[in-house]
Amino acid sequence: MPKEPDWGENSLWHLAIQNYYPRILNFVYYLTGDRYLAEDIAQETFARAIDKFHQLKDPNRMFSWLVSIAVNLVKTHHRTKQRTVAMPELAHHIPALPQDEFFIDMIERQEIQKLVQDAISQLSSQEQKIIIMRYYLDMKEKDIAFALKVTIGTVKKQLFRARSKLYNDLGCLAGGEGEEK
Amino acid sequence: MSPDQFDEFLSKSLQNSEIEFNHPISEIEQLIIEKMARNQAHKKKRQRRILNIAVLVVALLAFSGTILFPGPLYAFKEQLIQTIIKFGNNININFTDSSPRPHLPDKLEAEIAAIQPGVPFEILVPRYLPPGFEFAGVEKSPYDEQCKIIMYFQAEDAALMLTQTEIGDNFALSVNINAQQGKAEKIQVGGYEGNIITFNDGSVSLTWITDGHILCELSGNLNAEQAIEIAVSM
Repeated sequence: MPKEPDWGENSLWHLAIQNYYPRILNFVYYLTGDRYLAEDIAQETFARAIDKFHQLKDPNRMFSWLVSIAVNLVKTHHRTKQRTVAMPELAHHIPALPQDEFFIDMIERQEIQKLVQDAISQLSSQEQKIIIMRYYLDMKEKDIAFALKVTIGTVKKQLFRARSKLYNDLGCLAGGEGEEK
Repeated sequence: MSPDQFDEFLSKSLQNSEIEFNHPISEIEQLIIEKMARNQAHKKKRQRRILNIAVLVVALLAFSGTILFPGPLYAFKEQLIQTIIKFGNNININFTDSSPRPHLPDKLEAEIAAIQPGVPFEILVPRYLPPGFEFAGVEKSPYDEQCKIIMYFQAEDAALMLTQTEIGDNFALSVNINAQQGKAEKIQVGGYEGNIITFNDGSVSLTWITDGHILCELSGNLNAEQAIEIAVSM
C-alpha cells in the first residue's frame, strides 16, 4: 500500500487537485467524448501521479507531467477498448436556457461550438491532443513536447498543420476568409 | 481574421464548451485514494500471477530437461548433492543422501534385475559417472567362491571396472603396493574407510567396504577425485 499523501488544506496534492483536476478532466473529456470515462481517467491520472511522484524530476513541470499521464491513459483506453475518438456532444452540457432575450445568441454559440468540435474531431489523434493542449489548456509548445514526449519541432509542425486545417474549416465562421496564408 | 484572432476564437470555443465541475475536492480526493488502493491490489495480483507463471515455467523446464537431457541433468544433480554433502561434512553436519535411486538405463536395469535374485546383497549402482563413460555390462563372476558382481563402464579411450564382493566378518582391508608403481592413501568414502591407489600410468584403484560386508573395488582410467565421486554416489 503506498504511503497515503498529505491531504491538508495547503498540501501539494490538495492544491494540485484544486487547480489542475478540472482542466485534466476537460482535457480527457475532449479526447474521449465521455464524461464518466473522463472522470475515471482524470482520477486515475492523479492516483498514478501520487504513486510515481518520485519520478517527476522538475516540479515546475507538474502540470505537463499530469497531462502526459492522462495522454497515456487515454491511449491505453483506446488501445484496449478500440474506441473511436469522438468529440463531446455539446447538447448534454448546455446549462438551463437563459432568459428569452439571450436565447437566439445562445443557439448560435452552441452551433459554432459544435462546428469547432466537429472540425477538431476530423484531425488526427495527435493533432487533436496538440490543439486541445494549446488552445484549451493554454500550454506552451515546450510543455506540449514534454507531455507528448516529442521534440518541439514536431509540435510546431503538427500544430501548424492542425491549425491550418481548422482555419480552412472554421475561418469563415470567425469572420475570416477560410484560407490561411 | 488575424492568426491571433483565430487563436482566441479557438480558445474561447473550447473553454465555452467545457463541462461543469462542481464536486467538492474532498470527494475527488476520496475517489483518488480508493483508486490508489485498487491499483495496489491489482499490482499485487499481477505480481502473484507473474510468480505463478515463473514457477510453472521453471517446473516445465525442469520436467522437459529430465526427459530430454537425463544424463547431464543427473550428473549436475549429483554434483550438487555431493557439494552439499561435502559442505555439510565440513561444518560437521552428518546426513545421508536419501534421494531415490535414479532411473537407470534400460539395459543396466534389465541386467541387474536379471541377476539380483541370485545375489545375497543389494547390488549398488553408481549414480555418477565421469563425462563420456557409459554402462557396458554387468555379470556375476562364476569363478569366485563368494558372490562377486562385476560392472563395466566404457568411454571412448578409457574403461572402468566396479566389483562388489560379499565378505566375511573377519575381513581386513589392507593394501600392498610397490612404491615405484604408485602411491596409496587412506580416504573416507561416504562415511566408510577406504584405500585409494594412484598408479604412475594415471589409473586409480579405489577399495572400500560398505555396511561391513560388501567389498567394493573401482579401478580404471580416471583420476582420484572422479573415483571418489563415483564411490560416494553409490
